[in-house]
Amino acid sequence: MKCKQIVLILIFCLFFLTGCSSLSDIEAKAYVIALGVDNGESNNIKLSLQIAVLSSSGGSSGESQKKDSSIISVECTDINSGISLINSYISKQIDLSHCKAIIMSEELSSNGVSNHICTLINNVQIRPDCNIIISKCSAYDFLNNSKPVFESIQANYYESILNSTKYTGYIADLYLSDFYSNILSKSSQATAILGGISSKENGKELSSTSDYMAEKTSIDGKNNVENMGTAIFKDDKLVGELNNIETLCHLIITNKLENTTITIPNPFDSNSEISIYIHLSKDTEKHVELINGYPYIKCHSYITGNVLSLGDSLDLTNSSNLEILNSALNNYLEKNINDYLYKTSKKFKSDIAGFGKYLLPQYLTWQDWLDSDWLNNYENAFFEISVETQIQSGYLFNKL
Amino acid sequence: MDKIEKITKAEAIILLMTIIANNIIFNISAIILNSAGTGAWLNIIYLSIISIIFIVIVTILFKSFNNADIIDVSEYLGGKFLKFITAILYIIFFVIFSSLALRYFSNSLQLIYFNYTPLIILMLLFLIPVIIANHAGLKAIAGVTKIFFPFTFLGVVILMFVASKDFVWQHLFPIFGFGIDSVFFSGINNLFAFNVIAYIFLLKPLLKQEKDFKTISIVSVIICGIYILMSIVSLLMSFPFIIETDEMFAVYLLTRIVSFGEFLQRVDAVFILLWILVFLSFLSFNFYCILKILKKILKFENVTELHYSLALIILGIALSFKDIITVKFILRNYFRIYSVILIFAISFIVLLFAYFKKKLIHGKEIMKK
Repeated sequence: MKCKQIVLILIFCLFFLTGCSSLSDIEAKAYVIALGVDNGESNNIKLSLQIAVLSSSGGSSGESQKKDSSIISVECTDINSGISLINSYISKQIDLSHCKAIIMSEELSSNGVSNHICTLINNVQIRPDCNIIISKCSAYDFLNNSKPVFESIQANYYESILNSTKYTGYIADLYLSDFYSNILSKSSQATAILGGISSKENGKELSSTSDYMAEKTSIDGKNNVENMGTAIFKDDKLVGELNNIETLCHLIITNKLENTTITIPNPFDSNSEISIYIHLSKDTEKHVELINGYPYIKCHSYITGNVLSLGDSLDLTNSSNLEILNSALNNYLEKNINDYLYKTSKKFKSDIAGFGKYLLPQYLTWQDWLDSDWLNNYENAFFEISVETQIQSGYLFNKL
Repeated sequence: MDKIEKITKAEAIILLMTIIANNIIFNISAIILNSAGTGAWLNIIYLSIISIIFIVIVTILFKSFNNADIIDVSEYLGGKFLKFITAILYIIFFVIFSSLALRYFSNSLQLIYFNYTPLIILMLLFLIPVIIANHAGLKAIAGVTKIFFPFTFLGVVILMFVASKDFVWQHLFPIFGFGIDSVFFSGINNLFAFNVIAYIFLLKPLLKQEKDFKTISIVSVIICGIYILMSIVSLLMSFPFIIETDEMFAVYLLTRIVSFGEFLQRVDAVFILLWILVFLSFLSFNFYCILKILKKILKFENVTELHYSLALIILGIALSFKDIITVKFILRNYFRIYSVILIFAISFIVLLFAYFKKKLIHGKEIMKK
């Protein structure tokens, strides 16, 4: 009997070898790192693929960095036909399994992206954790300008550039699967990362750090593209944008904030500002109810922080000073969260924070829920926001 | 295969769990979600209660029949004619189930990984080990399943656990989904998910100790309920859109979002491998059941030669489906209802009448004495 079992195991294990039958060489594949979609001039769309050039990857010289990837674009009716056209043009077969980012232009997104997103989600090669970026410029220009400065490989660049959400909160790490899910959802709307090409001229007009968004920052560096802010969708159409501080508020409300540094007016000196390193100490409590058919939404956030700034006016050893600072931070966050929520409700009419799901348990059937028409009723929402902050201390010093 | 091999309690439970696991691969969770919407989990709890009560009654009724399965019981009730009818109905069930599952899983694999491999090759890759497994006999099938079981079982548990970080519990509501009717009345059709009971009806003569039958049956049905409930809840909380879309392979969606930190990502291939093993065990046991029934009704001494013909019949039926849409259509509209009628109506009625007949005869014998 043991012998029979061993023979059977060996036969079952034949499936380990099935990959060998359709073996394809890595050299025969053209691995796409990023995929861009723009409105086409003559046809429906313009598809741009940034493809890794394997032969020169891994090098550390400047020359190899330049040849690390190549961009090919094509005018086509849809993404799949575009890929077929490019397949016939290049000597390798396009493979999307290593695609890290999907970039769609603002112009295309305003007309609706559901067809393209559904096509992409239906592709087995594309991973659901691929990031969605809405570019303020054309997707082709975005790809063309995305040159890694601190990475030697372009693929690493797309992976690491979006990691900043963990320590800035200025962008939300959004995936294709979330985007697709929110487009189809009857209780929330979709968002995407906002990207663009650095424009130092636009940044000079800004006075406060709270006004930053892609293409409108004051950053001066070799990195040509920047991702900052959030693109807001209603159904599948782009309806607006959030700047960096609004994105941070969005992350607080959706419990996705990890760590960030915010700058608030100094309550002890009206001419200066204080930087505080904050994170969520508890998930934001959300309560949604309908009052006379209008959504009434209460949010209570819990923030913990440490003061980064140090100055003559700051004495964190004094508990009353800490209370004043807590109160200032509370007011600052409450005001910004309030503004952000009313902006999504009244201006964009889009429930990107997904408040609708908190009402779901109150309905008995799916049809009742659809009849409530939540997504359109969200514009009637009014909010009550409270923030409970607890500034613990400074960092190495509590006072000068 | 020539002599009746007996299996232990653990082996029986593991074999039945393989059948249950296959149901998840076979997209039964998605079928339930499409029919009941967000009320699918309530539907499964409701059906689990019905199935547990049903299986308790079945085990009580089976107590009167030593070393007998549903085919023997039908012979006792209605002679060779009823035995033949019941056997044919069960053979149809197993053959169609195997064919549908073979086509569905092979097609899904072809779409995901083996785009350039002809479908028939993939099917043969499943059928050949199954033929050999049946040559080796039930003990070998159970033994191999026992070896792979910890991996397949752990695989599912890990999948649910890792995917849980994306769960949103509010997506389990509205509680009645597409309506009370879809949960409690038309939702009865979803009893198909408890098709493991069909295998339980044939299990008793295969057990080393008949007294374990009750425990094995009840435990298997409870595990089946928990397993399907877990998969439905996971899918619903991760992909709320699933109630309105039509996925080819719903659980595969879960595997695509699973990652273990930064370094271990894209582990879907591991799960596919585990499911291949589960599917092989499922198909092997299905073959065994069909051959066992054939042996009973045809009085064959040796059914070894039938393995090849049976494999060809299943391959032929699997290939005869025009496309995977047809497979889904047959599964949803015909096979689902056929299974429920066979398992929960016909088999139960046969068992119940046979039980009364036995009691009646027993009563008369006592009266005579």
